[in-house]
Amino acid sequence: MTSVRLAATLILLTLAACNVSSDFQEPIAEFSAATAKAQTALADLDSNAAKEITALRHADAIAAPPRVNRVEGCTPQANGCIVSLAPDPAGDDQGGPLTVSSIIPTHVQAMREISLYAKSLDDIVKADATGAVKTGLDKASAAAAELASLAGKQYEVAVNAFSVPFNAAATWVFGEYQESIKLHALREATRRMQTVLPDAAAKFGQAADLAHLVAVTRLVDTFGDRQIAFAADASPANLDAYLDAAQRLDVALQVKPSEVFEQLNLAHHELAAALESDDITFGEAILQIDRLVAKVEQLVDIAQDFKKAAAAN
Amino acid sequence: MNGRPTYDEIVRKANTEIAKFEGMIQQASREIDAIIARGAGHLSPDDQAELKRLNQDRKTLTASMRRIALITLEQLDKTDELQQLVASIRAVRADLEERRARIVRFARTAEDLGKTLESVSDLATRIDGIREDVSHLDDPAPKRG
Repeated sequence: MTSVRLAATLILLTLAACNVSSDFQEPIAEFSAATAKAQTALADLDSNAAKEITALRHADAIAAPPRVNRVEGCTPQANGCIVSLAPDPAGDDQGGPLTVSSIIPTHVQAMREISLYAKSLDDIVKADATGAVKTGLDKASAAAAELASLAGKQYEVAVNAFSVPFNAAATWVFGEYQESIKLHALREATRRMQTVLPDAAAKFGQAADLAHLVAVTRLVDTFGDRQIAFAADASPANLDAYLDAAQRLDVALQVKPSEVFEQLNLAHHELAAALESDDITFGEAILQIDRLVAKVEQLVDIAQDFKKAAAAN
Repeated sequence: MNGRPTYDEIVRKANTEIAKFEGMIQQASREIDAIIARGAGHLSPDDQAELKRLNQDRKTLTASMRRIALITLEQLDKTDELQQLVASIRAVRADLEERRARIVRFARTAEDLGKTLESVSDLATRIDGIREDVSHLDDPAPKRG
């Protein structure tokens, strides 16, 4: 009876240990999902900007053909063939390939690393090896019982009386151990990331704002054209087109991509602080993560709009 | 350090130029709005021509702003600071991944231990079976007459 009671207590304690993980499972999963979306949005802004710089270089090449004097490879044994524009002697433009697939590949790569980091945080929280440990222990105790039966009846009884509570205890101990190494890993990683993320988020924000500005200037052009068209001919069709352009520009102007990255940093800061505290509470972290999710959704929508518009042109 | 502008310096310079163009675009927009207001729905051919010209000027200004943004983005991406940042982020992630792998490895060890004990038990059962099969050999052999 005593061993049955002990086993039940240990199972309850095992379940209680699992709850520590479930406390941070949701905020970390949401943080990871929002970070992945921010990464996609940055990649979309980059792809749109890459199309713009390609168009700009083509225009420059046609306007100043002598600048198209840099050819890399392009022989039968070469590794590739890239035609580039030489630096502009009259400006800051350092030139570069005439066809660009990514204008900020290092930023995109860095953001991808952050997104993978957030995914790893989530993987750590979800990693649960207690099932595997329990299977191993069950096999071990079954084997021990088998051996005991070979040794004699008296040993079989003793082994069975011992193995049930022992397995539960060992699984519980592992559960506790696992929780502690998970928590340690999360604390250590978020602490280290805190030394890098504020700077990274500020830089990504500045780059994202510039990439966003590229797309916004196009919307201003469209707005201007339609404004003039309506002023010249106040037809219902021209009014609709004018208001549509105004509305698209308005939506784009409401979005400030750098705010998403500031929020990403803030949410991570709160997450790290919550993990550091002895009495883990995620109230503030959840609030900041929710704000991050809302801002990211806006940015994703607008970045996808830009991407679609660029593809249509 | 290496004489090249830092990330922040590049951004600051670009933002100053962008602000200058923003001022000029606002000025062009004000002139456009004034002509439209003056025409009150009936623009003269001269006003229409002037609007087209101003709109074209505004487009030239937005194109310049776009060019600054694009060239700045390219410059920012090539800064040493950014490369260092990627390396630092990658190091944090690699460490985290290693810790996750450790949890999984520990579980595998427990499973392996279980399997090993199972094999030992199998072997013991077999040895016991063999012992029973050959137990009669221990009996004293009948003496030949």
